[in-house]
Amino acid sequence: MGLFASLNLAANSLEVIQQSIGVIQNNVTNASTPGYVQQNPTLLAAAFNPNADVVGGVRFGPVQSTRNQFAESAVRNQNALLGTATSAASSLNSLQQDFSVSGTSGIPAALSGLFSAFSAWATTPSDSTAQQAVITAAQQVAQEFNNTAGAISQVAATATQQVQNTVSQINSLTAQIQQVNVQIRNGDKGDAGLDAQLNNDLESLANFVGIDVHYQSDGTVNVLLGGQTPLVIGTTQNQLNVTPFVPANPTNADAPPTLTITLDDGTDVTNMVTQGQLAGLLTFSNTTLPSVQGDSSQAGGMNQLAQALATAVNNLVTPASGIPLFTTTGGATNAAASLAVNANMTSAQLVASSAGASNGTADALAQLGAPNYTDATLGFGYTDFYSNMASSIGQQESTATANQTTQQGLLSQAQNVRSQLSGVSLDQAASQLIQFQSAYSASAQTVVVINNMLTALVQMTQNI
Amino acid sequence: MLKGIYANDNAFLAGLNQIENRITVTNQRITSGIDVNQPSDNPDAIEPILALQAEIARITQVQTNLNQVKTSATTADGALQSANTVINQLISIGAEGANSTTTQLARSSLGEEAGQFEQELVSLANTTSQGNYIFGGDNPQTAPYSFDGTNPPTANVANPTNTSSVRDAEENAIVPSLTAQQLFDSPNGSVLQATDALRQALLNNQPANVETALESLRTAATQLNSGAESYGAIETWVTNASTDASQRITNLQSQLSGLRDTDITAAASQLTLDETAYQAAIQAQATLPTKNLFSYLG
Repeated sequence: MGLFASLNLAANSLEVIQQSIGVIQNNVTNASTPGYVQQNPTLLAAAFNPNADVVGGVRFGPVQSTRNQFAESAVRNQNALLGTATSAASSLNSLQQDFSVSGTSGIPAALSGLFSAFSAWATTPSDSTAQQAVITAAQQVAQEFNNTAGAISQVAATATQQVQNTVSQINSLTAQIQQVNVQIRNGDKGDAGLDAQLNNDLESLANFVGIDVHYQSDGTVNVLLGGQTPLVIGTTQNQLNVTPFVPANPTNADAPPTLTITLDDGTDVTNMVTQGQLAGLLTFSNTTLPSVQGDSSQAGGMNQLAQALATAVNNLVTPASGIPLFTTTGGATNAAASLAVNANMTSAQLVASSAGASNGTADALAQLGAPNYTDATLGFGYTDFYSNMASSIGQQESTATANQTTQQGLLSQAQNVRSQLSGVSLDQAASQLIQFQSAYSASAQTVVVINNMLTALVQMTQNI
Repeated sequence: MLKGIYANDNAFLAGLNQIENRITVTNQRITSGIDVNQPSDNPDAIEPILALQAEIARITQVQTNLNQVKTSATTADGALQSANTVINQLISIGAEGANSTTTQLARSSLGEEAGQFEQELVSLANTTSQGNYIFGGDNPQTAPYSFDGTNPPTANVANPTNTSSVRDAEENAIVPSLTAQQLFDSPNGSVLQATDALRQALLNNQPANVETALESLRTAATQLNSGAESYGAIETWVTNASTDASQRITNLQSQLSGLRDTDITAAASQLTLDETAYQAAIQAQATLPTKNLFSYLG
């Protein structure tokens, strides 16, 4: 091998080392970039056959990503489950604020006040003050039901808005992923920055909705919802839509609709949404809220309670007084919101007597609040029925919050594993830089030595 | 140390957040003195807490009702004692009027005096308490009797009934009063009729009728005393029921406190633990190496 060949070899080494240092430098620079994983330079031996004047050396191979798809998948799965728990906990926390559990405010206190007013009236059946107290207590009960129904409707409206916002964010992220796929197909495959963006988008998307990611040989990704419904296929994006749904001939015509998730062609993919924030919100909107405020097929606990109370009171009041004490308007799902004291009822019209006793009606009304009283429709006493509703919501919130805490831990663990496998190690980067610096110095020294040798050779030639 | 996606930092911050949440909740419990401020604080305790609150409210109202009845019963008892005194005075007047030595003028004067006592008896039959005629039965807003000073007292309500009951904490019911007719105008001995007969006999100077009226008055007095005894029994029942209600309220409040109120000692201990954990976590994080190999390279 001649000196010039050696010089070329050394110069080539300098270039390869320089490229390697570039990769390391890029790692250090992007150590904090979301979604970025460590890239490793690959050095390959060049062909070497001195007999054939093939001088060997080193060549720069492909840059290898340390991304581990299993670790990424685990992070996405845990992130989706965290999204489910987080949105459920947040929504349920809003809802439970509408349930007073102190017993000194809200519906429970109003119910106690009404039964106490009935009891006082039974003791002084012809006392106009006691009669007026019954009217006032009944108005308070109606007001509390109206307020609670209004607050629950507000929670429902907020949840619907959150579902729409979440779907918008999902569509925005799938659009970004689709754009990345376009760039990859246009020749940017292997771009670490693009890869970081893609995986960061996938991770964000997973928090909103559970997804399956399939990597294609051309570097693009296909993103499926529920393992079946394509959100992104190559360079095609399928948008999701929120569509209110009311079945044909609903039992409760004026009930709030359920929320469905559809594709642009109208395909209902709600059942595919089983994880992520969207799943938590849909469960809350389509299952939890209807159990309280009703939907097309059920009245909802709050309306059942309001209607059962109104019916029980009216069944006792109407025969004695001629008109009912409570009124409701609209369908079964509007009972709590529309509960009111009959506008035609005055305290003077309240008749306490029944066929058996002068305070028979008032006494029977007071018995509605007795601890052993069970409403035939509800299967519980009124306060007990309310308690069960509040307890159920509280239990769900407590479970969701516990799940959220657990999922935060599991997500951190998954992220830790991913970090161990794929994260940029600054220590390793420094070590590699020292290593490449030494190699660079050695190659540079080789150039100097060869240069000296050539100089000496030229001088020797001049002396001949 | 591996860096890159800051998983450790996220885990540390999530842990800190959990401790902060616990501290916030514990502070809220200590400040409010109540452990269960929202359903999720203790879902299983919601039903017993609200049931206890409802029962306390119900029994408190029962106690208020009983106190009201007790006030009426006490007033009635006093009225009946006064009526008994009046009857004794009427019996004295009758005895004096029945005496053969008593002159017509004196009898007339005694008749006038009997009329005043008769008026007093009617007033006692019309005794009110808290705006109601306590012997009015089911018509407490109507005076049971009227008396014009000349004719016999007349009942303002024909065939009065008395069906309004009051309940104790266990839902046992009693009718806590008697009507004026039952007490003052009973078929077994009418105080008002006997008194009026005495007045008429004295005014008309009829010693024999005075004697008869006197006998009727004695029989009626026995009947009135029987009514007074009934009121004594009512007062006893009401007093016992009220005491029972009071004890139940105390017991229920104690149960409620056990379910709902914060154990301040335990909460303070928990707060200290959480604050210590918080400080320890921050200090532990602070001691972790923050340098990497680059820090040592010139």
